Amino acid sequence: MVDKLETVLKVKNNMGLHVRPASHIAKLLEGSHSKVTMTYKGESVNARSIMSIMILAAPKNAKIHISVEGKDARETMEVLAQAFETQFGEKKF
Amino acid sequence: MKKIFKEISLKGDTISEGVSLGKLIFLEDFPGDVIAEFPIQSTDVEHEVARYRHALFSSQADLSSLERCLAREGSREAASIIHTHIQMLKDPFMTTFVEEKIRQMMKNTESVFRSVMSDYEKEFTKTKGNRHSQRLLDVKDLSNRILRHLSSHKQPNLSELPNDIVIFTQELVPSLASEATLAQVKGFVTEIGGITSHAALITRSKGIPYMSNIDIRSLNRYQGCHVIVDTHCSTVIVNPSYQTRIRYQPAQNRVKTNSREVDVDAVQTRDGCALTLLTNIESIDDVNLVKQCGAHGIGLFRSEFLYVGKRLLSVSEEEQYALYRRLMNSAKGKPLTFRLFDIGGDKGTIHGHESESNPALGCRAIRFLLRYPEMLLRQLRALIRVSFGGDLRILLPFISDVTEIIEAKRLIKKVTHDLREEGYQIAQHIPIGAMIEVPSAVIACDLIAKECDFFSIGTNDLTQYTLATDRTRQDLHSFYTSTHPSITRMIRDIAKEGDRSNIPVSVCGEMAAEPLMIPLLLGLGIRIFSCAPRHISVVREMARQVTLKQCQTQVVDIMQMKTCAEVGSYLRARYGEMISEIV
Repeated sequence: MVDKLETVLKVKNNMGLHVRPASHIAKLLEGSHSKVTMTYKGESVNARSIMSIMILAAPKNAKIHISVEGKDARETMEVLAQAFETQFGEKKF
Repeated sequence: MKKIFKEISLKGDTISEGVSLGKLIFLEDFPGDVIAEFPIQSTDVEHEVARYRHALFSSQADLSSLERCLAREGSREAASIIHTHIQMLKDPFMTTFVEEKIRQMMKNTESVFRSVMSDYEKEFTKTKGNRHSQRLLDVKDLSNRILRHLSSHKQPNLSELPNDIVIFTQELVPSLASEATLAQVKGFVTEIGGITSHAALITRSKGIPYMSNIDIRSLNRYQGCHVIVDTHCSTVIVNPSYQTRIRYQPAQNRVKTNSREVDVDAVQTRDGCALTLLTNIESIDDVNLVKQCGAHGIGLFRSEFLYVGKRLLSVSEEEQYALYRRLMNSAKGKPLTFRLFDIGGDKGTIHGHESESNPALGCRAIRFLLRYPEMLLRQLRALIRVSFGGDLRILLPFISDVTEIIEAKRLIKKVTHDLREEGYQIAQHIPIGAMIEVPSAVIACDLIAKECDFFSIGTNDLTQYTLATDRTRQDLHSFYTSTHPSITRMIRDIAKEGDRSNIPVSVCGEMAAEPLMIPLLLGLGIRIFSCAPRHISVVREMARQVTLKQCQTQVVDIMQMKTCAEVGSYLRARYGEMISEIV
């Protein structure tokens, strides 16, 4: 069964969605079988593409619309929510 | 016609602090506009696609080797940035999208790639304005690398440039900043650059002064002239007069050592426990830094760095001898702990040898050396020939079993014997030490202690192997921590064994350069610290402000704690303020 989930996640790290968070997201999605789309300010991109995420240039506090479609949509969404929450590994301890 | 060049003073913005003097070198940007554009036949399309894939593959190969190099020297920040470049090579935009474009446009790969990238840049700056243009630098850096591989333009190679240089360039890309070492590159000066760029982060972490927003266009003719970078005055002085250079001499020393007078002998805690501070270095020029930073000697000389990119297996004894002679002379009688080639396995494949499926657990360092004894014997002969009159100590990397030490000692004994027979003067006694970086060596350290003269704990690898965590993997960062209870217990046990067997124990990983870890290591029983020259002053200051007694009491508390987080916050609560004053 193919699930489609949608949600809005907030960018919490200071530098916004620059190359490092984008690379973090792409790496996390290597293990997922779902189609993941990120939308910000009317622009939708493939979340597996670092360069496309960078085009969004989403700053801190930006709200990103996320859509996940596939059989592991739920798990994929959880992983993404966790990544946004932990500031893509950029949070200082 | 006689040319008279005046001293020129330029104002700019500070990106990475410091004061330094070097020779001006211009690095030209990659001339993207010289790329030819021509149509291709439909029969050539797949050939062009293959050429593109090959360029991606070559780019990945050189970035991976750079990443390994950075991880090894402990530049975690830079390594993780280079890692994102490797990730970008797998981006569907870089792979399938570009390939589709080649098929659609029916033009040569270089021109298609350049046009795709310039569309991307336009798209990026159109919506975001110039405010984010710094963030494009990673993309530009990577796409220039790919273009160079496509067009057989050479990648800029710092190892071909002289020492003590200040690099002037349009924009500083992360990969160039990553390759630079303070021993070679005294500063960067660029036309464009921001403090939040990756190159900025890297130069700051390496301690290389960097100034930007300086008009460098007309300075071509000053190539090779002296140049002073002084971020305290936000100034770059090109072609300084003799007087100016003299004026800067003390300032230059101050930056390297962070204090005017360095009292080499007097490193002790407030309650009088004497410590030894040694340096980790990897080139002969670094030896000068040892004295400047006030260290007692060299705790780790990474000999494999002498031959980066060369065919290590075939470097002749004489060639090595000449280098080691210079090294020994520059050490001027101070302790020189020479680590034999730490190569193979995850330290990178050796020319002509198969890559391994699981290199971190593979044929690395001492295992590699003992498998190819001809190479080991050449290194030992060259090294032992320079032992007389100095304070040479030989460090065996990656010991996991005592038999490795026994075998290495047998070879050292043989080489020493042969050389004496051949009439060479050899030092009476050359201490042999074991690098403790594999858990088995910790668990059996009582057996290893019986066979060697000193221990050197490599906390980076020890942490990685104990916690089964690849330290270059950014996503596993939270697992890689030197304050893990298993690591503190290991260090405690090795220090105890060193005490019992009466052999010195040093710590030479990143941990020894981390101010917060100094009280912990002291409390665990470590008295010898070895770190990069630039960290020595901080370690010294830190050690001078604590008391051993307190550190020991605190370690009793720390040993009760279950998590790294507890240990971290315990130490920060007690030393955070002290550290912010020192650093």
